[in-house]
Amino acid sequence: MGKSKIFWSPRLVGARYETHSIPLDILKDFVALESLIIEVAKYEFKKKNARHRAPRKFSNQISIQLSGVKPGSARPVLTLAILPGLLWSPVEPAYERARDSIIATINQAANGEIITAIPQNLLHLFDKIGRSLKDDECIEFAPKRKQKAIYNQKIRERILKASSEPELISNEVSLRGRVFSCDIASKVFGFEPLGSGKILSHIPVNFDRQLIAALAHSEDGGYVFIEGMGTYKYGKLATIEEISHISHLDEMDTSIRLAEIAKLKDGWLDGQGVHVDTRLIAWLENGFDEKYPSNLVLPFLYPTPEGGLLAEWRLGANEISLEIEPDSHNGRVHVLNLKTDEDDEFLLDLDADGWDRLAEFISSKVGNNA
Amino acid sequence: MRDETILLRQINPAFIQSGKVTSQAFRPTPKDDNGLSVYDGDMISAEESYIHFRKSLKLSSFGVLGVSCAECNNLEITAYNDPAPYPQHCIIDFTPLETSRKRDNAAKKLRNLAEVRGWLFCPE
Repeated sequence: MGKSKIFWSPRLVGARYETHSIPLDILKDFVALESLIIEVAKYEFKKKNARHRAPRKFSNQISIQLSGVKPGSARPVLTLAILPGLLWSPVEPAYERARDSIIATINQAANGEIITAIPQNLLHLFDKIGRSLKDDECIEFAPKRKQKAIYNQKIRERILKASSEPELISNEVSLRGRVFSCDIASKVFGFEPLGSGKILSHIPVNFDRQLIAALAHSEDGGYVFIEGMGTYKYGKLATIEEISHISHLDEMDTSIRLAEIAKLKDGWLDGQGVHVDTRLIAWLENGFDEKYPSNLVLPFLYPTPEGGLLAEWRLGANEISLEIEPDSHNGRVHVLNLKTDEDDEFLLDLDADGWDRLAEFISSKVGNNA
Repeated sequence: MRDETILLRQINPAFIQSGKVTSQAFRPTPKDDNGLSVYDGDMISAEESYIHFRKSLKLSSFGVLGVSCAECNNLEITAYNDPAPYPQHCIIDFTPLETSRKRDNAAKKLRNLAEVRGWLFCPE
C-alpha cells in the first residue's frame, strides 16, 4: 500500500449538510474538483520546472480519495494517495500548490480582484463545481484560514466570467415549454421554453421515448416540464445538456396561464384593460408554487380590467372567486352556491396567513361541493 | 324588449381558460358606470354581432354568449336600449345592486345561465 496524507478538508455549509452527511449529488462536484486540481497541478509543475509539457501519466502517480467526513457542518476529507510501490512522487508538491492556487483564485474572486492565481484558460473548469449549490449554501475551501475561500453561486459565476471562454455557463434548469421537434436519427430535439426563444439540443441517452411523447403532447397544445442541466451563452439558455425529469403539465398549471396573462398589453379589454404587472404575476406564481397545497384543485386564472388578477374555482354548485388588486397582496374571496343561493365574502392578507386560510377554505368546499 | 329577447355578450379572449369563461365577463367594470354592454338579439344575430364587434368596432371577441331579459329581471337588474354607439346597443344596468357582493352574485348567475345556453356564435 502506498503512502497517503490528508490533503484538503473543505467545509460544506447549508441546511442540507447540518446532519454531517453529504448528499450524493454533491459528489459529482468533487469529481469535477479533482479534474480542476489535476489541470492546475500540471500547470504548476510546468511553471516550477520550466517545462512545456507535464510528464506523461502525470495523474497516474497520485490519486485523490474521499476518505471520510468530519463533523462541523459536513467536511469531506480528501486524501492524496501515492500509488503502491512509490515512496514519493515528484508531482506531489504540484498538487499542493494547485490546492493553494485554487483557494487563492476563490479569494481573489470574492475580493473583487483580477484573477491571476491560475490561468484564464483553466477557469472554465470551475463550471462543474458547485452547480447544484442552493442560494443559501456554500463551500468553504479554507475553513481554518482567515480568508476562508467561500465558494457559492455568485463566486462561481464571477470566476466563469473571468474565464477566457466566458460565454458558456452551465446551471440547473427547471423549464416549462413545448417540444417542437424530436429527430431520433440525428439525435436532436427542439424545445421552446415559455417566454424565451427556441433551442436545439442533443437527445440525452434513454430519453428518446419520453421526448417523442412530449412532442405529441405539445402538438396537442399541451406544455411539458423539463428538469436538468442547461448551458447558458451570454446569460441566455443555449442548450439542454442533461435531462433528469420530464413530465406533461396539467392544463391548469398556474405558471403557463400566468405567462399568457403577462403577454397582455395595455388596452387588452376593449381598449381599456391594464397590463398586469410582472411583479404581481411573479408573486402569485410563487404563492401557488410555495404556499398552496400541491394536492388541492388549482383555480382558473384571469386578468382583471384594472391590472389585477382573479382566481376562480368551480366546485360543484360552489362558485368561488379570489380577486387580487394590482397594488396590494390582499385578496377578496367571494363564494356563491348556485343551488342554495347562499353567499359569503371575506378578505385575506396573502402576505400573512392568507394562503393557509385560502387552502383551508378551498379544501372545505372540495369536500362539500354539493 | 321582450322577456325572451336574448342579450348578446361578446367574450374577450383573455376571459377564457380551458374553455371556461370568467364571471367577470358578466360584471361591469367601475369604468362602465355599472352598465354591461350587450347587443339586442332581436335586432342582430349572434354572428352578425360578432362581425360588427370585430370589424366595425375593431375589438377582440372569442365568441358570443347570451342571457335573456327575463333572466336579468329575475336578478333585479334590467336591460334597456342605448342606441347612441350603434342601433343594436343595449345596457344591462347593475345600478340596483349596490355592493360588490351583490354584483358578484349576479355576474356568477348570469355566467352560469349563459353557459347552460351555450355559445351562440363561436368562429371555427
